[in-house]
Amino acid sequence: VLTLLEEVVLLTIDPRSGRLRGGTDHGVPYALAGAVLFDLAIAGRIDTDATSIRVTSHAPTGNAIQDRVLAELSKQPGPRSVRDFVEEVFRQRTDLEGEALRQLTERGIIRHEKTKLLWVIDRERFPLVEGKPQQLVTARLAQAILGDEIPDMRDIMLVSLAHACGLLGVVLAPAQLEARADWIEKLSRIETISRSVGEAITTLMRDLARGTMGPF
Amino acid sequence: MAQPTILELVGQIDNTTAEGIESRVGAALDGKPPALVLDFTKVTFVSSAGLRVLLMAAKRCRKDNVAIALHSIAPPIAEVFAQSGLDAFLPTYESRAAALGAVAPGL
Repeated sequence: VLTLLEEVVLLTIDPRSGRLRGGTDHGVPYALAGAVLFDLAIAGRIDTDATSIRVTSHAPTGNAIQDRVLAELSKQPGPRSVRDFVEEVFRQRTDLEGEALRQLTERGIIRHEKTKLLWVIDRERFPLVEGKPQQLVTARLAQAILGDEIPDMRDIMLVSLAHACGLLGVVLAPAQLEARADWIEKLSRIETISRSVGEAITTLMRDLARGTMGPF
Repeated sequence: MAQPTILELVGQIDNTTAEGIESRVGAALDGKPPALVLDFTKVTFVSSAGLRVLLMAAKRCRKDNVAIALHSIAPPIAEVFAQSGLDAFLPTYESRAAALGAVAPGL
């Protein structure tokens, strides 16, 4: 079973070219931070209230990325703001994407290709070795959005993160997304983590548009 | 005529109690009641893990065609429901009588 982080990263890979697609500019790193928090919540290591995260178990999960984030969260006693943590992960430029790509490579789902463009510029591609995992992720997203039933929690988490960082457009056509916009908003509101990721991305976009974003 | 099942929940609904509540709700629904009423009179806190278990209860009720209602929710918890939009999936009422009146009007 893939982690939610791996599923979101898998969504960012263009299956035809193997290149990474960014979704909303700078949005994906926030969504990846949110995905790790969801993975920890699914593993029963953290819980959240309307604004903050609480570590409820310090026991390692066995996943290197999750355990590093859990250790980071455990450093501060007491609850910690979800949004502050998501923004801190972004500011630290933690390479969650790179680590998840390595895990997907180790699982044999993608392979890593490095080539030179004009003999100088490194160009990386991550072609799918096995197409089914990505197809399953996109099928689950489509079903969660277009179906009439309440999706499973894991799929709600996936929809909300993909929505926050602008990746739903790789799964469904604009007209389909528009027709289901209310439902997508409903699903995206449920979780504190997704709301915090969405707010962080909105704030970042606003700051970038105003030119007030400092160096990061 | 079958009666609605009423479950009284107590204390915090978080990731330490969610599994137990999920089991209680599942066992109640296995009995195929016409409706499920969750009494929140003694509930003091609902975390994200708690919201998840409640949403999955709503999902199971929809699937099984069982009416569900929550009642007597403390204002801070009602605020959490409103913020997360959970109240769009789970109807809430001020009292047990109002909840029963909504899910089992003939009783």
